[in-house]
Amino acid sequence: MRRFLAYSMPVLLLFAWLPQVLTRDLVTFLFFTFIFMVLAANYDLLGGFLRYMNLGQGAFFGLAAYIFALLLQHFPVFFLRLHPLGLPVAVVAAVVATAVFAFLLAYPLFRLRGAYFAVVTFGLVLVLQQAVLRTPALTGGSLGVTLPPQFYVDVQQAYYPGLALAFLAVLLNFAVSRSRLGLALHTIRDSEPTASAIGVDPFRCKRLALVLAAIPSAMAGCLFALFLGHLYVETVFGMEKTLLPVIMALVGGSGHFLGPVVGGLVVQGIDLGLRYGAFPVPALAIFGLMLMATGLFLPGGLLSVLHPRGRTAR
Amino acid sequence: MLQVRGLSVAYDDLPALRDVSFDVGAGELVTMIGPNGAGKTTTLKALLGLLPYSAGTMTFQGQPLHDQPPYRRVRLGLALVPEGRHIFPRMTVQENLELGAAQGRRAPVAALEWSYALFPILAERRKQLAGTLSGGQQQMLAISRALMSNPQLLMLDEPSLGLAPVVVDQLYDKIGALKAEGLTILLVEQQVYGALELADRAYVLETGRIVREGKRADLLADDYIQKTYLAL
Amino acid sequence: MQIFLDILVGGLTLGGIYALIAFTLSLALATTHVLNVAHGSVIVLGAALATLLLGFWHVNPAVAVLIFLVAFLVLGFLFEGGLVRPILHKPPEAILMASIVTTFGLALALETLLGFYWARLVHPEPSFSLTFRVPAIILPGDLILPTRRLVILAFAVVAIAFFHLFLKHTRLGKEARALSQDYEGALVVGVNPRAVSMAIFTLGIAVTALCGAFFVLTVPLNPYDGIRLTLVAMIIVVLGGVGSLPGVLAAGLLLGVAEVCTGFFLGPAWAPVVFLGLLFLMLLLRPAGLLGERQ
Repeated sequence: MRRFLAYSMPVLLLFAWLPQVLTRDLVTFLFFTFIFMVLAANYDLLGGFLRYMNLGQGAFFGLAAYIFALLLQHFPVFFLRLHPLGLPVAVVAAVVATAVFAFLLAYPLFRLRGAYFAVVTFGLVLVLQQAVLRTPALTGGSLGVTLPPQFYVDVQQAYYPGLALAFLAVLLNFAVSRSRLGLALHTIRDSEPTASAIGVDPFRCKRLALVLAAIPSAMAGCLFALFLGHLYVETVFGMEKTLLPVIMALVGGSGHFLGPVVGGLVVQGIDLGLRYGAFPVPALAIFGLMLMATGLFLPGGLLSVLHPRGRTAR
Repeated sequence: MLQVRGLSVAYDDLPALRDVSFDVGAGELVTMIGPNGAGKTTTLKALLGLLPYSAGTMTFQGQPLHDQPPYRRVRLGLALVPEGRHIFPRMTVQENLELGAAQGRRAPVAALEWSYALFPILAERRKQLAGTLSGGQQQMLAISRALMSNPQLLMLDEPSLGLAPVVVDQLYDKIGALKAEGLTILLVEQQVYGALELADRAYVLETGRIVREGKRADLLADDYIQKTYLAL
Repeated sequence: MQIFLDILVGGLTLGGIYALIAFTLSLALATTHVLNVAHGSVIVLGAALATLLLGFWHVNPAVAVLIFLVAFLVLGFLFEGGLVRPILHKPPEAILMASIVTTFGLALALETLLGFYWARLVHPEPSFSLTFRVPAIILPGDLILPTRRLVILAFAVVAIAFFHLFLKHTRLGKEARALSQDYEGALVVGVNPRAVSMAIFTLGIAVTALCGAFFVLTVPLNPYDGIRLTLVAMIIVVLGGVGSLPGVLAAGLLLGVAEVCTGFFLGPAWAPVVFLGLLFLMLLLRPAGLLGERQ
């Protein structure tokens, strides 16, 4: 743990300093990178430790973002009056709601395994998307949700919480990997009957992992909503938020706490490069190809090349 | 007919077989005995190519088996009756047998009749779904199925597992009959006495290594064997 | 009464196509442990090529069919060789994971590139659909028979019958069943999993692409519908049980009829909700699938 903190200090300081020297666009870009990293790290909590591909990670993100934004939109006076606790209270409300959602979701969800789990969690995001679109009275439908102007936050203010969240998400993965929960999860991954035999309750561990994974993503959702000021269904529940984090985790190295970090930087870096280089091929296609290469040649992700002794997915 | 030299197999980092060497000559019935987890099943699986090996050589009738996938080894004349039988539960007895003959050199009809003659109970149930057979019947099906390809070497992995003693006796009678017809057999068993009774020669495998080998009479007289495996 | 007929035929047709799509996916999964996330993309590709050949280039239909079949048999061959064969030697769990990742990447790349280049080279708004003139058949009582859908239904029936015969009576078919029922048993008996996988994927992909072409006779598709279609197929596989043709048929029909009914009574976009609702319900009540298989 101390080594982890020691190594991460300089990195954090570097990222803390960057906004001073980078353009606003690049700072925004980094902010989004942090958000993706949180999602990627949370995805990997299930995907790497348990080998359950939770493609619905974006659902927690979006749900929290929507609850948060709707609370602020419908009850602005209440939250303003609580100032400066207004925002934190709203965040807590949204995060708790999402965590409960995750808790309840565990029951039907973990009856599935492997491929079915992946596909159904993916469907979850689609369903939420449709649910939002179909209930304009409650959620604003396709028009989206607008935050009252008093809550607007600009990039400079959002950047540091974003960095902190990304750090926390990675820290969470690190902590879990060194904890009994992590050991339990690995055992369940390798052989569930064995896990039961040694006194681990597989369902409770999985449920706990799901809830833990939901929390930072939920917080990221709130932060994202705050930064955007206006939520559209496509941005919040869109394919990007669902697929990119998974790609990042897989390409970086699933199963290792640094995987999402490496993946996040690489994927976003490529995206940036494509944008500035005006390369005539859409970014998603490149990511798709990278994913194929990963699946075929580098199942352990980039980390297995950079850090051969690290325990990544085989 | 079969020569294995220095075979080593590891599961990830856990060694399962260390430097194992043995032979099976034409027409012999060779038994491999040993406790649970000794590596007996591992040996047979490696021989058929179901498991990768890390060192050693396997030669069958002069041909190296090294990089051949399982289906090629079956074509060369190896057949395995795996632990747990692994028959096809939602196919009929007849279909199971026909699949066994797919690589064979004998015409399927003749092979089928021969199998039914050997195990009449299968003939009675030829249209029945294999999953509905009893344990003993499934074992007979598994053996018949392996025989359908007219193998040069038949390998049996713990055929007595989970079967009632009466059934095991019947089974061993059949195996004896096969041996009498000249079939080369490699029999792996935990149930020591019956296996040794049938064998010409035997090997004792413990924690991945061969600790004893020899002719049947010699092993039966061996003190260590008597104490550890025959409880005498 | 007309409405009832429309719903019946519509539901059966959609159900038949869904069942077929789900079946090819399930067959591959059961015999090789490969989950092809790009399954839906193949459907979309089939629709795209058909639209291109018949809708834009107005190629002679017989020639178009030939080109179509050749193209997708080749694609199936390449797919199997490039993405399946390299991972076939791994243990089943690893094959599943690797195939999900690789085909996911493939689906992403395919859809994005298709959308991108179609918009640039063919038409700025990528959308695939086909039409053809079919004589209207009028039944007694002034009922109009939806003949176009019947053609699609006929295709689905023929294809399903074909697969049934293939699995039941050809050697490769029996070997495929063996692989799906007991993998180790099949290896022990001398089945060559690579030959089987080659057959399954070339056939499977060609038929799936055909489904795409027939599908867009009624409902248009766009390049990004691929993953959604894979999702539908997977849900049917979950409901019906892996590798079980009757189960998948039943589940596919159920879902097809359900979707048509939902579309009629509630509106088209409620379908995913209904699907997942059905799925969750089933998971809670009967985790083993409609006709019960493991998983």
